[in-house]
Amino acid sequence: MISQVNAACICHMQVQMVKIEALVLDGLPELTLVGGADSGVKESAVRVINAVKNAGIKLPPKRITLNFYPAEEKKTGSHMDLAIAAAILAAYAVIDRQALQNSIFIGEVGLNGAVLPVRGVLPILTQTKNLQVRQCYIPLQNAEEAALAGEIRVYAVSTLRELMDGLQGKQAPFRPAGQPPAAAPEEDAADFKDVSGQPAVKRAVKIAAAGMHSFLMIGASGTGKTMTARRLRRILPPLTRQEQMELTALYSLVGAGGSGRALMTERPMRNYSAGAGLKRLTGDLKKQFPGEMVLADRGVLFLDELSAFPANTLEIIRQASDEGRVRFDDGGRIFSLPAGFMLVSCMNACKCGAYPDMGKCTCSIAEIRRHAARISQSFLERTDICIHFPRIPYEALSTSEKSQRETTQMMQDEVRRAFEIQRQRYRDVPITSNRDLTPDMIKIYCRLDPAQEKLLQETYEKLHLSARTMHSVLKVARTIADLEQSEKIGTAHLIEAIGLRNIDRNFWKV
Amino acid sequence: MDRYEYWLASLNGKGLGAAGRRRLRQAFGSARAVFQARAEAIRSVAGLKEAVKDALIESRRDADRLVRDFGQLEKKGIRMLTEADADYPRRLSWVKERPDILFVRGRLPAEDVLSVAVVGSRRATAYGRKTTEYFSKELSVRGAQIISGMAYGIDSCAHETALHQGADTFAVMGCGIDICYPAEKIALYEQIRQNGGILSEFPPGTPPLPFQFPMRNRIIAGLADLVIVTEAREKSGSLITAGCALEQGKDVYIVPGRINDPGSRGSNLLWFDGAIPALSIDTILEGSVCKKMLNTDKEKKGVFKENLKKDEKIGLAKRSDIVYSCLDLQMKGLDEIVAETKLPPEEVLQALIGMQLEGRIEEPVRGYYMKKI
Repeated sequence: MISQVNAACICHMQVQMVKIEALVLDGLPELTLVGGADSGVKESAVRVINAVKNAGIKLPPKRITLNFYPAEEKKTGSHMDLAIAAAILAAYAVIDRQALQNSIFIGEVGLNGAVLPVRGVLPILTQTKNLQVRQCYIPLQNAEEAALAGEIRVYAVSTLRELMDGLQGKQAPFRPAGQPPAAAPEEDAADFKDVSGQPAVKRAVKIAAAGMHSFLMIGASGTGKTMTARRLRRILPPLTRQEQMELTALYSLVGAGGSGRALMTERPMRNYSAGAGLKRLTGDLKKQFPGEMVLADRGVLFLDELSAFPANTLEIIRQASDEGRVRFDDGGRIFSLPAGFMLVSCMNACKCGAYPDMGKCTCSIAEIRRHAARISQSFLERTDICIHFPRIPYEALSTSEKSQRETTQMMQDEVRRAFEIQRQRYRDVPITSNRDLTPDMIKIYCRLDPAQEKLLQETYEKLHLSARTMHSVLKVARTIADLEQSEKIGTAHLIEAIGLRNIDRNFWKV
Repeated sequence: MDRYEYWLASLNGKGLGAAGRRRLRQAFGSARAVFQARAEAIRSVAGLKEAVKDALIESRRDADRLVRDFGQLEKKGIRMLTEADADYPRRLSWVKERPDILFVRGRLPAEDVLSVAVVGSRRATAYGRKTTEYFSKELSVRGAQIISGMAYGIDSCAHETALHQGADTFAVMGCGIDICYPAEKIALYEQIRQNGGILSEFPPGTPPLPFQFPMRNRIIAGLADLVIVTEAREKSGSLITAGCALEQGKDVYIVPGRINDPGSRGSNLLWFDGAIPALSIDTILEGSVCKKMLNTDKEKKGVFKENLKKDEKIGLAKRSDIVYSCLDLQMKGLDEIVAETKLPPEEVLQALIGMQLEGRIEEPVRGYYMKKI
């Protein structure tokens, strides 16, 4: 008797839908696997058969053949354990073959018959849409995550016995308790009200956050660059439900962050420093690690001290930031994962950090030039906003005026309002924030009146801006207008955006 | 051009300087005679190191190479002239320690045109740059030629300003004339070569060695009718230029810096040595050389006053006024201006960019603003 079940495996961070067929025939007891399953899957089958026996279900010795479809795709891992169990049980007619229809089985099985959690349940379920899958059998620990997929009925099982109960209709489908649980927000007491004496910095950060604009912070060490970066996450715009799902699916797929089971409601903030090695950034297929650029999708990729990064690393980041995806080469098969991060970087203006104050700067001309040479013009042009961090005057450090300072909560409220405006405006286009505006969209959404056009033209010529910088300026102007809740971009918004524009290599002209 | 003079010059690296060459010419009559002299005759010349004499005798053997190298000069467009040549700069012939040999690419400074040496720190501040631009421009448009050393900072700024005004400018190098030092300034080097000239007393191929730079500074001073020094530190090479000029009896002007700024301490101290603080272009134009060599009849007087009047006329919005009055000739960052004016940052930024587009203020370095000079 042949049985057939839906299954899935995750190979090199990609979901692979699989159909497993089991055939049980009389003859010498033997287990044969066909259809491109690797040795790990063979181990799975052995483990599953023993687990079934340990669960007290009798399987008379017979010839068992397992076929995995499509055969040309490589199959690996333990995701298919539960499906193999179901297929074998049906082939032995322990359970009804009909019960397997319209179902998918995901989960690892232990020798004692326990069903163990796996990663990637949500991304697998989101890919079953056109397979007519109406219910899924998944490990109990993955139940909350599976419930996020919505339309599919979830049967959460913790043992093979429960699997059989479920298939025989003796178990009620899993019902999530109210709202899906959010990943617990990380304990982070850092508040913007601790950032002292830098109203212009705060204003710029708020604008950047509201439009998800990438920005570069320039200033000496100890002026609050890292402090600002640490507080950035809390004021970022909220994720839409759809984005939360996608992000949770991504994190589940790669098993990162340890939050595979709960809904990710906050944007990720990933740090990458030059010393961490290139694999940390670009990912490692063998270790199923997608890299910081992918993990920063819809969140922030923070690069500390740009000048410490080798040129090729910056080039890789630039490319990913342009495409919004990271490409992987899996033995000749190219696939990509989303990497729509907001790029936040910081750097010293020179080795000592005092440049361009030549009176205080202790660097030689050669040192300043070397420092500047580390960052390419094209990288700088990818930054929408440049924020200069001044040395903090002593009075500002005093705590007396702390109460008057803008708090994270105040900034967050403003950003949320501006983001909501953007979301409404971009209902019909596939973007959510101003930073993703394409040149064509800029013409529609960042319309200027003739006087403003003239002003921009004049700026373009007088300040020697590049075409890319002009686009940045318009996008940032749009965000400022949104922050001020103005439907039209005002001249004041445009001028402020010009003032916030990125730096170019001329910054270090000596 | 004399092949044998080139031969003598080429031994510069072996320790044969201008004084030694003069001594040899005196003893034998000409460079050619030195080349043809017997070894014993050369050995008997007093006041030369033995090593130099060895090099002299030794280098004569490879006459082919000498011919070849000499031929290279013309290919590279390099002219060599000696102090005996008719077009050897007259200004230099008054200088006691003048070079006996000069290499030139492009032209020599014109004799009847006011020659201004503009020198200063390589680590120039925005203030230093802007004042250099101001003085160089005001002199260039009046027909002066600008002489400097093509170093980073003030030197380059002076050359660039002159080129921008379409005026002649000349660079005196501290290395071989065919070597662009600093190498990044190759575009500037080419422009100077085409719109003026590059000069050096060192034979082609001489690397930029530190001790050669003070030597070239005396040539800069020698070629100039007056010198302007901006932002010299206490041990700056610009002070050597200024010192030579003062010794040669030429006017030296300094762009005054703040008293607590180490970057201007050297130039400020020159005041005590007889340098004149240049408070505006008028200070320089009123000097006797300028009066003699520049046509200053239709002079527009008082540049600063004019600017001030313009301000009043515009009748600026109050906010811009507050921001403008907070600015200085020393550049300030946005946060500093916000802290001083106590205005919201967005308003300050709007005022700054607005005034920048109007041309009232400048942003010499991105994110930093200063009043226009």
